[in-house]
Amino acid sequence: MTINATDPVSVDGTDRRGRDDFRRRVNRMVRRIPELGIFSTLVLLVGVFSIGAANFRTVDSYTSILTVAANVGIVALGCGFLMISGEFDISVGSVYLIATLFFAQMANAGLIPPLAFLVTLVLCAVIGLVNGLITVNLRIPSFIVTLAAMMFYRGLHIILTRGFSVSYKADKEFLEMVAGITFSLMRNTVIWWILLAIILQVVLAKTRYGNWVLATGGDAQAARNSGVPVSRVKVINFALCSLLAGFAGAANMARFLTSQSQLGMGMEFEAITAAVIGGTLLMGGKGSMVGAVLGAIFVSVIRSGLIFFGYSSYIYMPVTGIILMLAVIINRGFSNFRLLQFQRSDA
Amino acid sequence: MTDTGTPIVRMTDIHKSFGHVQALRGVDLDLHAGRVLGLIGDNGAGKTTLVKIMAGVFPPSRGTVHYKGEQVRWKNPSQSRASGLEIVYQDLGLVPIMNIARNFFLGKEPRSRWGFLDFDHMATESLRAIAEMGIFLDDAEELVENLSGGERKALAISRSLYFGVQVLMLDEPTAALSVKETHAVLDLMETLKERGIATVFITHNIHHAYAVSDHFVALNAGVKVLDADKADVTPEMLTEAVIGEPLAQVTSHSLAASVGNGNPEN
Ligand SMILES: Nc1ncnc2c1ncn2[C@@H]1O[C@H](COP(=O)(O)OP(=O)(O)O)[C@@H](O)[C@H]1O
Ligand SMILES: [Mg+2]
Repeated sequence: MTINATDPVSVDGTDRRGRDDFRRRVNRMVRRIPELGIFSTLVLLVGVFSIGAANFRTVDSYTSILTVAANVGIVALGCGFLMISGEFDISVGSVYLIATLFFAQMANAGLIPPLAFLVTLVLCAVIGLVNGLITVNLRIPSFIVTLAAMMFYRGLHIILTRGFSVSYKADKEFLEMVAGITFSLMRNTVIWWILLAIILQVVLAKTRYGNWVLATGGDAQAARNSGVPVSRVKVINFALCSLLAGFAGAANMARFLTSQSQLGMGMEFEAITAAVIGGTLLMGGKGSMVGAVLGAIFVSVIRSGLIFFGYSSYIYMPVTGIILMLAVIINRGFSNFRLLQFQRSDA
Repeated sequence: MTDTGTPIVRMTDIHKSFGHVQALRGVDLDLHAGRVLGLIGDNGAGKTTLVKIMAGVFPPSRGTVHYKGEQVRWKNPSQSRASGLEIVYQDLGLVPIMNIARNFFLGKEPRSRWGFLDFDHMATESLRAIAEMGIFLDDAEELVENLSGGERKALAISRSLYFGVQVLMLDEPTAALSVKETHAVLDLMETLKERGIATVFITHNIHHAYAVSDHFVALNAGVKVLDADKADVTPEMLTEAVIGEPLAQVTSHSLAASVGNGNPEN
């Protein structure tokens, strides 16, 4: 039998042209702008809190929410990007901590602050590189590798400082640029955060490397068969993840001028929560940096909203836990819904 | 159909052992451009192993592979793919949660100015290439997980064609398909012939093989038990070759070991 390419009806009746019903259009919109859900939920939440609590609806409170969000949000970008390629990093809180120490010690020792900052980032990237190489080459789950790294670098901090806090004593001019207030509105970290998010979103959605990241997380074997350097992608993303955790840590040092061993504790879970609330699949293969930003803001809004409403700060953890659970169910639910509605029977 | 011209692929005296399992014992095989070779055999007969050697997934224990008249020793599948040989596996090597266009160009993404992905090109080219297989899709952003089995197969095969495949190995492409989709896939093979592709059609379904193949090779416990043009065989003869006792050169002991280790999934 010969197939004529211009023949409108194919042999097995597969011709989807002209079947543009409402459901398909909604489906396509959800696919194109996956952040729509978290965005509308966030707007709703801010609206409710703003109406409900007078001291919540102030410029100061909004900007402080963003500043808090930026801190974990920068880490969430790296965690999310790595998760999209199918791996976890739970050592980011410890890397964040060790970065504060690297930066302070090198600057205190006389290295000019911008250089100390840069070297800190490089060292943190190397930490991620090592995590990645171990994960990929020894085939140990990244959860275990980074659990070990999490304990190692926090322990290293305590050994190096003997448990005492370390203060920044060098020139502070550069610190203004990192974490100061330029536009008399919010901290520069917010600006760095948004810039990083935009860059990473563009890389993820619009470049060849981004396509490799999505494929690596979506189906590593299929990606490999198509010629994607899967291991290299993962290792690069581990390095990027640690680098961003280091950036957030060094920025924190720039603002508070002190490094103490409980900094960044639990940050890995907040960062992963932010990424997941923003639509990153736990299994990898899908996610968004814009979503991760919104997720971090969401978590930060919950945190301060609860305080403004007079709840004890203890309630923040269980509430965030419930929201994380809901986010996972919704993320999965969306794809299940799609499968039910649109997968054409194979049988 | 008679044998003309030099074969595009010639495999000679191929042996392959995995530990104690002798998966292939002295198999010869020729492929010709524009022809479909039906590679048949029961589960564990060595079909997949043979094409994996052809595509450089692993080297043969003994024997040679010639491609376009020259002996080749592929280091890996990427190398053979770059030369125009490709296996389309049963799971197709597609990423289910990525869309059609992204899957189509995975690993070979076209870039426009500034180095960004050229989405317009990716969308139009992928849909056009799939339409040439007789499958008409209208949304290149549709996720592959929402496609039917036949549509996925058309995507995988059209992708290989688009990137200049010359020897295409389809490993059990009709397994787990509906009757309608099976027909669509068998029709795809006519398209491959018209395009001058040398196709290896692996199946253990004699009727599927008989419908589209020009030539048959049957393996039985790693031994080639039949090698004939379509004109010279009947489906009954093919069935006989596949399920019958393999030839005498095999001892009953080694045969039992080999069959016993047969992988039912393949
Ligand atoms: N990578 C491998 N390692 C060990 N044994 C293998 C491997 N691949 C195939 N075999 C064995 O080789 C024999 C032939 O397998 P295969 O080529 O997959 O058969 P078919 O595709 O015809 O079903 C089987 O006994 C199988 O178990
Ligand atoms: Mg097989």
